[in-house]
Amino acid sequence: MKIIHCADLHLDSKMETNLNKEQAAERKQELFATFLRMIDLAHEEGVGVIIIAGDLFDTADYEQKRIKNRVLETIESNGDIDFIYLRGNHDKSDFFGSLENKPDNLKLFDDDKWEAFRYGNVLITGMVFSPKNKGTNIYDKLVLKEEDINLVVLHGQESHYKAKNDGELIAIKDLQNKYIDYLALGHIHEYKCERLDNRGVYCYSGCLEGRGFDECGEKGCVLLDIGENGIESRFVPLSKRIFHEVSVDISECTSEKDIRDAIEAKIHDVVKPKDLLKIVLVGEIGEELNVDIAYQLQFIEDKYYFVKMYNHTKLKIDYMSYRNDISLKGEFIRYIEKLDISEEEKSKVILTGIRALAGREI
Amino acid sequence: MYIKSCYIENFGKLHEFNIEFKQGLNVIKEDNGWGKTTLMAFIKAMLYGMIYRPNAKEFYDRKKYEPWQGGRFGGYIIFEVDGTEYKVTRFFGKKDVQDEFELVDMRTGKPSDAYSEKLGEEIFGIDMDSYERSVYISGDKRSSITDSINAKLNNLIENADDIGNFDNAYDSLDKVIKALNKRGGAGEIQKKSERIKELEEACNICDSKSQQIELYQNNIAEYLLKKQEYETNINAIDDRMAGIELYNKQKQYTVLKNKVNEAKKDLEKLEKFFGKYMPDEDEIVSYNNISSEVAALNNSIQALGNLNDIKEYNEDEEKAIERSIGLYNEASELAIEIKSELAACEAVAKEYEAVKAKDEESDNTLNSSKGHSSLLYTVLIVMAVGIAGFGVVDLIRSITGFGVVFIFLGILLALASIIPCLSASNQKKTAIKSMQEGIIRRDEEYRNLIKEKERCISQLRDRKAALESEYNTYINSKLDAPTGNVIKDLSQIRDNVMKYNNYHNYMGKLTHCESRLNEFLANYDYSGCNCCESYYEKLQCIRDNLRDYRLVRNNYSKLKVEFDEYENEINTLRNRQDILSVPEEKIGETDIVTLQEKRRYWQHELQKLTEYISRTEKTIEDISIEVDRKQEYESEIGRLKEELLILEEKHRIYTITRDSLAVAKENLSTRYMAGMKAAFEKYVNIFELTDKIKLGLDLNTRMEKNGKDWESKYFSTGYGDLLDICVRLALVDAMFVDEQPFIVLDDPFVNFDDKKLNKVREAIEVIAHDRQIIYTVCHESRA
Repeated sequence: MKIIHCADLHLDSKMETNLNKEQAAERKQELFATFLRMIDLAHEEGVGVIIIAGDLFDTADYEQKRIKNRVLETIESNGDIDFIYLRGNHDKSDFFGSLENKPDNLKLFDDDKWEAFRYGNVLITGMVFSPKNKGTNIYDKLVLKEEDINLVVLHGQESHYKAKNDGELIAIKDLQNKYIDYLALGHIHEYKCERLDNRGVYCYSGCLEGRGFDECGEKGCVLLDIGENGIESRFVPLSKRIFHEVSVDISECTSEKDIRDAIEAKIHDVVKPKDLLKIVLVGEIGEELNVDIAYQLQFIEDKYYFVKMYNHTKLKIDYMSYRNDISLKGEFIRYIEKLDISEEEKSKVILTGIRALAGREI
Repeated sequence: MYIKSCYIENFGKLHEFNIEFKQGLNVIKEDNGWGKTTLMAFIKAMLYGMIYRPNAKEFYDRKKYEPWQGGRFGGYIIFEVDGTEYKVTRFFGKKDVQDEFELVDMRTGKPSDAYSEKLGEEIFGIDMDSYERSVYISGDKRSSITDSINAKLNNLIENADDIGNFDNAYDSLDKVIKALNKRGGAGEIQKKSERIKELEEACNICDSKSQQIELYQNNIAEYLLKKQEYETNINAIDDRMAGIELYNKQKQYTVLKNKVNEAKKDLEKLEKFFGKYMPDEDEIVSYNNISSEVAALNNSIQALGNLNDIKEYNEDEEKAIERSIGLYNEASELAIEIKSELAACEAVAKEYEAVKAKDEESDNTLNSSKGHSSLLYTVLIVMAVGIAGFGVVDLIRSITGFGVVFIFLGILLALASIIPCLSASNQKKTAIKSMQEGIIRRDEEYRNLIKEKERCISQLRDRKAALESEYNTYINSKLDAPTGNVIKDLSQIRDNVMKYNNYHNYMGKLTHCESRLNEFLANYDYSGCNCCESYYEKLQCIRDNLRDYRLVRNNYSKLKVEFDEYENEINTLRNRQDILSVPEEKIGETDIVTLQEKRRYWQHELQKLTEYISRTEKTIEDISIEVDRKQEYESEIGRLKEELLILEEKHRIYTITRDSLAVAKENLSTRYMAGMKAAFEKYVNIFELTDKIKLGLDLNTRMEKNGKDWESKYFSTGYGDLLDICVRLALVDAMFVDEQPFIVLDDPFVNFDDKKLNKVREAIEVIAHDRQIIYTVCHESRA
């Protein structure tokens, strides 16, 4: 039997802040398209069940209705696949639960007990974290059989301390030695697979598409192949675009062209034209080096879907060398050195002051 | 601090060069190119070292003063500071890491750590650039050596231009700060903040709309419950009404059933009349026409009148009649012909006689004279004309009936006269002979002709008689009382034949029509009809029945459908377990009316509720569209906040920069300018300059004259140079707080007149009381 484990789709949520309106709308469409691609993958691989471990939607059931209805239609039109869905912390309301006529292939977990769905000797169990069961010891009520192949679905942050169900924390220790073969988790937007105990593993599938620069790297789902030898899992990248955050140290650069070359060297062959890129210039630079973000952007912004750049460089300044400089500049630098502000701010103030005194553009 | 001596092993063009200095004024009078600047650079290098700039494009000291002749690059100076004598030795490599440094305390002769390689900074408290900018004072800007010194001096001014640029720097920072945070809310920060506020307000509105939606959803839930209640009420009313309806329907059922049965009976009756054959309207019309034709035929037969004496005639009668007529005509013609022949014969006879007589006469005449022949011919012609004329008269008046014969004879005679006459002259003789022969022949011919005529007439008479016999026989056979007028009789026969034929014709048609009518009418059962005697009446009966049949059939069909529906409705009602027919005694007269009123009321309420629910759902949908925009707003808020942070940081940085620059300027002013101003005034007095000169923070001098400040560019070159020297000296006084350095005056008084030069020399000596001065000149006049 084959199963797909995915989570944190956030199909109706807003996109990266700096995208323009058209790009934001386009990314939303792409996010949904990736969801459809996952279903195509399911058909290609002969998957019988898709587990959605939480955060399918972000908004209330009356908001972003078009997308919700599209998801519902997609589930209905793929009746040969069961969709097992666990609500997450972002699923503001129980959209599917409120439907009068749910599709037969849509199975829902609830928050009042451990719900289980059986496929031969494969049992998929799950429970929604909610205020109703917060503070109770839900793990004690999870009883599984050794002879079954057990998949358990939860949404929350892994915690390695023994604790009661603390809302969104998943007590990993309390889930050990319960004959769990695969703990399908959602909440963390990056793929991660670790050993749970001698028998099983716990896995965060990550999200299907990054929505901001806090979700960099490949995204996708996990394909599980359940056979005689147990469960084999592998990450399947699905995202159309990848977010990249790249730091470029321009300490050795002495000109704007050097900065351009340093950036190019860092992103060449790593970032694809369809991707989104955040470049952070770092390092210590001399006062004579002009770091003009707008100027640097014009060389690369057309090569990629989206680019933004930040200047986090510091001014290379040896305060000692100005100790005996009797000019206004020297006096200014000495004064700044003694100010109670961060080193970064000192660097920026001095750079601005020196440029202003030199009559350069500030 | 003062320099005691220098030893240059190799430095620029100086090689193994020694020089000693004393405190106070040291005058070095050497020509241009001697190495005065190189010596000063060496002293600086000993105090401050030499900068290593591998990527520097300008020709800096380390490169510039590489020994021309090679060898070790460096040397030493001996100097005194705070009463202690030191020797600093430096040798320079290609790179700064290859440089050598040694400081020796000359008292002990041992290396000293009193000062580090940053000797100059430690002694003077200023860096190399500031030292350079302050120590070298040159007036001759035209010489190459003094250019570099001037360049060093210009660096001071350039850096002093920091102060000069302060205002611009301050203003540009202030401008940016104000643009970011203008009073009145027009700054970029305020605008972004305002926009964020607007968007947050919009988000709040979205949130309140979300709450509104939830309220509406709650309302809808309530209304749905109410809707259920109303529907229940309506169902209850419907049930009761259904019960009453069932009762009424059951009553109506019987009535309707009877109607259906009656209609069926009527239909069956008519079907029985028509039996198997149902005519259509066109057929009836057609038979009506036949009926009319029968009537017409009967009339025609009656119009033929008495037919008793009509004999049998066959189809050849007309031919016989025609034949008889033909015979009659032929006989008539024969009669005429006979008459004609008779006349002709008579005429021939007469002619014969005449000719005979004439011949005799002619014979006599011919033998007599020619005149007689002419007269004869003339008489003959006259006779011929007379006969012909008689023939014409006879023909006209039908005297004898042989007019034609007479005419013929006349012509003949004329010819007989004319021809001989015409040929008489030539043929008289022959004529007499031929005439005689002719007379004989003619006589013969006349006899034969008369015989022929007679024979012909006899034949004609025989023929005529045969004809007459034939047609008279026919007439007598066909008429009982012939009139004797053949034509009239034959006409009568013809009429009789026509009558006979017409009669039979009519009768044939009549039989045929009646046969068809009877055949048609035999299809129908007139047993129930009392009024149908004639064809017309019967056909009318069929028409009426046909019309009735259609009506009755339609009526029956409608009733049947209505009945079937009714029956279904009743069965449906009966099948509903919950509907029981309400007994009659429980039905009030106004019960239905009341129920209907109530139902209308609840239906109306339900409709209102449904509409309200629908409107509310629509409202929710509309509001949801606005609520959905919250994501857009949040995205924009996020972006704006990021931008705002950047702007606020920029504002903060720029504000700190601006304020710090102001503070730094103030500090600089405080630190240096007070001392500088005092020192400047001191040197102005030393040089006995009486004008009211002010020293600005930018180290520029201004003269106050006639209520106005005049900048140095208005001064003469010499005056400007002197003021510049005062500034430099004042700067040195202000800069070198701890240890006063020596001063290099590199021929700065080039532009001075003699009067001033004297003053300057005196001033230098005064200054030299307080500090070591190394004064280089290239001309005696200034030494």
